Amino acid sequence: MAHEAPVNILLVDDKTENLLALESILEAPGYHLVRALSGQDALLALLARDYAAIVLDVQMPGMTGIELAQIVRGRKKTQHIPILFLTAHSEENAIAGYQAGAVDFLTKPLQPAVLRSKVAVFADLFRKSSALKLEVEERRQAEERIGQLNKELSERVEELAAANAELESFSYTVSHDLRAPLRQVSGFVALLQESLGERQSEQDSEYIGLIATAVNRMGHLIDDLLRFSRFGRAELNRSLVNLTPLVEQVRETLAPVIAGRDVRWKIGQLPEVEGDSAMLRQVFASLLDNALKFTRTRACAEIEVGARRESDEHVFFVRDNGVGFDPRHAGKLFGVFERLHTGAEFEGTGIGLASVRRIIQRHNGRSWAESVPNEGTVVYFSLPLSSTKIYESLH
Amino acid sequence: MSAALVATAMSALARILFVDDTPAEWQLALASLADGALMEQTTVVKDKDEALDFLHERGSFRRRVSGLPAVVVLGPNVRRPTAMSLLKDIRSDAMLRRVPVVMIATAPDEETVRSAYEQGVNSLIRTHDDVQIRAERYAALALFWGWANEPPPESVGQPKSQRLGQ
Amino acid sequence: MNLSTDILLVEDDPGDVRLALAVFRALKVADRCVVVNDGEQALDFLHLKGRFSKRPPGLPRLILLDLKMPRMNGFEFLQQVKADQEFKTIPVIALTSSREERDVERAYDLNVNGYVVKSIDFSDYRATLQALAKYWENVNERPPGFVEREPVDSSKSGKGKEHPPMHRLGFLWFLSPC
Repeated sequence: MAHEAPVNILLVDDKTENLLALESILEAPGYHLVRALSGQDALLALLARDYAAIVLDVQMPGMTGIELAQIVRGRKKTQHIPILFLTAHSEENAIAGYQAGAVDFLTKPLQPAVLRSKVAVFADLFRKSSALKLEVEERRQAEERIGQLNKELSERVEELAAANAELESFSYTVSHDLRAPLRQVSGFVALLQESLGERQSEQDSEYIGLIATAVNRMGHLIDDLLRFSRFGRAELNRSLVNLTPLVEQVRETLAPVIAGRDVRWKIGQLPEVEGDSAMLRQVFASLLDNALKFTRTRACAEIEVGARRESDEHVFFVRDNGVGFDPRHAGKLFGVFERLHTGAEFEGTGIGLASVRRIIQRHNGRSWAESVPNEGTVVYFSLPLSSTKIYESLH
Repeated sequence: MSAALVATAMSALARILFVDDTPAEWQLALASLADGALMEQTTVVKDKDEALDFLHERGSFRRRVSGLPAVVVLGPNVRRPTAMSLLKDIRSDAMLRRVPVVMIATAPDEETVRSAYEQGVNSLIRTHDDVQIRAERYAALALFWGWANEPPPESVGQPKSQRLGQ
Repeated sequence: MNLSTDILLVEDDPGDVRLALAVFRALKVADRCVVVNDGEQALDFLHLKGRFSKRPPGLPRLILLDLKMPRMNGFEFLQQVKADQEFKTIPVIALTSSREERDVERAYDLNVNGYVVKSIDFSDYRATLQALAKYWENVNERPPGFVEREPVDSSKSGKGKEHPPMHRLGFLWFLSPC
């Protein structure tokens, strides 16, 4: 039972020789014994330290032991300190003593061993309760720290969500409002060309054609931005989505792109998932469109769509045998407007995969891709299994 | 109904649902609708029950590709009460109520026109004796309802938007 | 100047008005098109009120409606027209830049007859308006209340058939508060 600091024991007796006797009985390295010759002294001593026990003589002039005990019990700070009464008489003091709050009584002449063992019990109790109090305090502080951090975190998250929402709202409004003037430029350019008719020189014609091309590109950019911001903002319409027919439908709408090409499809068994069917449709539309785009240079394009079930999620993939991308730039692949091929190589605004990532994110899934340049690309995304895991993340 | 048409209904996205029981009429319609390299698929059904089966994807239309048509055309040979009844059924059905409906009527008077619009028809066409004119009208119908018009979201994916990447 | 109004175009953007009229001119319907800039003016037209109190009677054959307009927006106008016993048989086609699902749904819920998206690509835009005009002008049965008028003899129209309608529209245009 080796402990660190010695515990304080208060010895109260009006006779010095009695205090000496108590000291000699209780002297031990684990105790710090403090003397008090009167009730007043004892109260003063109690103010200065925390005591594990008070050994108290009942018979004292002035403030009696009983009175002292009552005061000690009456004070919040000291009310729990065990009081051990020492008395020459037995019964009549005993009852008054217990009523005043004594924990134990010892009659004189004292038996040292008994006194020692009783004090030892109180000392032990004190040590244990002190240790417990310390632990409780530490835990409370830790919890407070965590609470504070959590609060900051959720504030941060809210700020981020607000900023994102604002950005998406802005993108949406701007994209929307840009369409009218863009349409008018496109329209009046065409009408201008028709109006000039025979009168335009080759250079006029060329210039007008370039304006039209630029307008067209701008139109695609705006539409992509619009679509991207829409997928960030819109509410998720959750339902059970059967992906096999959905992918079929997407494939059919891509018929004009496939026309005249040799495309070999391999569509595996796809599960039913919970999610927003319009958004998931967009995911597959983007991925299949990309696959078709980057396999354009192949004599025979091979595109595979499949899914596998992992422990708590579905993992989907779209594989193609197209030109692929440099895996060193994989980090950029899903970025908004990031492109890994020039406009001369492949058209596009670079928003398709960003939309995919956004949508999958909102479904609490992940998205990633692998590629070997000139051999092909695989784009993966995951969707959690349990429907309870699908919740709107604050993003 | 011929096997070929049923096959069309089953596998393709059906953008136009044509209701009429007279083969001559829907053959004319199909021939005209297919004009102009439009990619609509058209399904022909002969009566109200088949029409509702198709729209609800049940009965013999159980496994067709999902999605409502872009327009339902009630042909001239559908008797008026039946046409109005089908229109009413469509408009009172939560799932179907927004689908565009075009009614082709022989000699409609003002009362007919009013009650058709009251019941929620999108457009009413007066049929014509001249086959050529009827064919032209079907072509114009297909061009507008099958291509230019934006149907409600529950109708099948629009080739127009795909083509333009919008 | 006594032509029937076939098309009532409700559109606030002057550029879009100009584009639409260019297409309609090629289809020879521009001279039967009246342009107003917002829902209130459109209602004035229908009710023969305000600056339209002296116009020839008769309802338009077709209303083309932009949805996003200041003051009374397209949806409010649509709602009012479809609730009116006299006007509800006039086909109203939304002609708008928005392809947003919620706008499409709302328009159909308010009983719009058709919904046409104004494309950024001009050839598509033109083909779309042509398909629209061809169908609603020539194929759709005219609504009750529409009064067909014989076209003005071109020898009387002064500087050529382009000008009177443009002048008339220019006049209306000049009056419109923008």
